[in-house]
Amino acid sequence: MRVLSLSLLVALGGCTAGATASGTVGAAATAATTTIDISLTDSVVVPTAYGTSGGFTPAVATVVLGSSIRFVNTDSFAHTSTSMNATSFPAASPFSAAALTQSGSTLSGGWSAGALAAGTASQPILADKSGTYLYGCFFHYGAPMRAAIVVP
Amino acid sequence: MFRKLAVVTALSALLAGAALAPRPAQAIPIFAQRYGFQCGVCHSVLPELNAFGNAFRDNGYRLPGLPKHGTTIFALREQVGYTETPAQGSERTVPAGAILGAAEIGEVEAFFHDSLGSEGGPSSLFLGYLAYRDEPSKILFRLGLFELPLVHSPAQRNDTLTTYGYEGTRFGLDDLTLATPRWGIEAERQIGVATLATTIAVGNAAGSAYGGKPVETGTSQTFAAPEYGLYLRVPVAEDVRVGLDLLDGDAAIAQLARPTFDDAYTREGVSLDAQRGRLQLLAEQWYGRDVNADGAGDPLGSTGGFVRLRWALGDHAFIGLREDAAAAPAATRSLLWYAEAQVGRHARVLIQQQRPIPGGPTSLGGALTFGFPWPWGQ
Repeated sequence: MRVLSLSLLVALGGCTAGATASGTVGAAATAATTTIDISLTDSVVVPTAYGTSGGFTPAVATVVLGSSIRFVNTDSFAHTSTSMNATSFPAASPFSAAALTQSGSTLSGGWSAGALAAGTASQPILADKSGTYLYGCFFHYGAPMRAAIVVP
Repeated sequence: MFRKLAVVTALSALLAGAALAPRPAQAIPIFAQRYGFQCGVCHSVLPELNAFGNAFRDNGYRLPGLPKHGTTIFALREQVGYTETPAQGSERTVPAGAILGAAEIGEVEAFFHDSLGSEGGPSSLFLGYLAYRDEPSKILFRLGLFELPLVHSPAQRNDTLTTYGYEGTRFGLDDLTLATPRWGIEAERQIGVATLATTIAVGNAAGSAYGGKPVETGTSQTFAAPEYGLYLRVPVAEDVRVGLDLLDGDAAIAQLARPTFDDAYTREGVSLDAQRGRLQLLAEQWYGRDVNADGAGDPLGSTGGFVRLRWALGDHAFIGLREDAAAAPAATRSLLWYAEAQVGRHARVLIQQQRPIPGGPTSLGGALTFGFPWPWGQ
């Protein structure tokens, strides 16, 4: 019985499969890092040149070319920060389940922080090219929860 | 740092004192009033039920043959929670309460739990059902808003403040967790040595057990089809039970400015519950699949579970260690230790600390939970 119990314990050991780590802050983060706060709980909805924004602070972040950006989830539940290929916020969510997996490390290449648990931070995203980059949360896009990054 | 140390030391001393002199617990005073019990008869540490308490619940809250007394019908459970690292906009200390009610209506027992709200949240019905045990068939029915009959109470009668592993997981845009109470019907009966329960659900609770700050998410959800559940518990040796849980449902999810879409899902769990002396091992592993969790037709697999080791310091005091894990698909994993005990006859004190794996900021929490009014002289 002891063997059976131990075997089942190992088998049931709260294991997960096919998962990627989330909420880690990359070692590449430097002093030239802009932090963008993620919180729907304390969200203030504001108009921007790209449409209605909310859930990310600042709503429009202007960052220096060559600097890094990281997203910090200060809310009590999960969010993503996921880029979209658009010049204004689409009416309906443009995201798919791929947003739940962490990907990308540059603004121009597109990114998703994956599902960021409460209190965790994204991988660093490099502002590698001038332009305007729109992004939002997979879970709460319609809240609204979306914002913009401008690299002059 | 000093304050943290002081809090831990004070709570530890309180727990140690309580553990040395464990006392019976009080949780739903209405039932204690009805049968004139010390509530430690039914509760290990408030609000968790012991074996007798679970049997009492499974019997439709009836103890045939015992004399009954008048009750207040309503009772209050109050909990003061403490979190060392609150989310932005939240306080470290949050009071929260719930109105509990129970009444006999002929052969039927009516039970409800209505949260009083906290952090500015509205009150909401969390549990509310009619329980009836049909003696000829030995089947217990629950009709209304009930918890899924998992291997432990996922959101009520719990021994920690933190939802167990996969039970609080959301699946893409599907917000329905295993810990969320369902509207529907449950039927449960003993078949030989095994216990078999089934559920048919058509809706779910909208609030939480103790309220909470409401957040507009831009997403709403209903049941596109009934959710069917099957829960089997089979003893395989003395003090060792294995279990199988199966759920099959279809969620209708609506996001602003987007057509409503369906997400058919399945959840399968296997569990182990073993006891040896004062040591209890409880573990469950879940696997899930959502066909359309993003509204774009992308399937989403999920997995996770928990392993809990708990040592009983007495009948009314525990220390425990639990590992939680979930991936849907991004993974979270954490280790939780906790200690809890009755303090006096009518209150529980709990301290817990959660630490992400492989590392990250730890979160210290605690709670003082008590219920009243309790029976005269108890």
